[in-house]
Amino acid sequence: MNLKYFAWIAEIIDKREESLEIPSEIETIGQLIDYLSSIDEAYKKAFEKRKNIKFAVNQVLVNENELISKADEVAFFPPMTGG
Amino acid sequence: MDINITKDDFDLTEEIEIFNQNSSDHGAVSIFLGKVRPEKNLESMQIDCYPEMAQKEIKNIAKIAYSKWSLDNIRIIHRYGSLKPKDNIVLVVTGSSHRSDCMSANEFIMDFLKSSAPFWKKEIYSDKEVWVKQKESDLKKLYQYGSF
Repeated sequence: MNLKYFAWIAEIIDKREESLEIPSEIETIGQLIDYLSSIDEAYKKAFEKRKNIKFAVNQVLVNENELISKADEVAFFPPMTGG
Repeated sequence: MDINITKDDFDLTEEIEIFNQNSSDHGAVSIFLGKVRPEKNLESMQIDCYPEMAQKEIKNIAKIAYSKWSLDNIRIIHRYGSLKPKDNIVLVVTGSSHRSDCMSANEFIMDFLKSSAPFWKKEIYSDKEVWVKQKESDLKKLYQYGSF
């Protein structure tokens, strides 16, 4: 699965993008966050305040219950501050 | 409709010229130019961006603007990367037959860009770095349009 991180989330994880093998039982964004938080302290720290994080699957904003699959591009980022 | 997500600066006069060349029927043009506000001790502003998603999201909001107002053309430029105080950040140009349509659509697009387009600003001061937080007041402006 291709994962992307932006803004302070990318800074904490110290990556902007990576390709990871995700266990097949991970079916939703929420489960993916729990899984990542369990394998490394940096993810745990980045995802600590989950209400401050937004997610997109294949560049479309979704919620935590969104189903995901291996071929998806999943992005994690804070609330937007453009303009 | 023309959307450009870019690191490059733009020239306002040239952009309006292009807008006019690509438009056919407007009697009114509304222009919003957003710049880096020169706050005290601000050295630069870093704008992070998810370009592929930004292109999709802004195109979507431009389509909604077309459906809500009678518009002739829309041109949107949003920069990312490292910017200095007073640098251009964003340009929204909307054209219509009469002023109310292009002015309302322009504000709608800007309200969307503030809170729902995938850009993130970080202010670099001489003594600290601060990620800009989303403002409740900006979200409220977006809520006024209801679901779309």
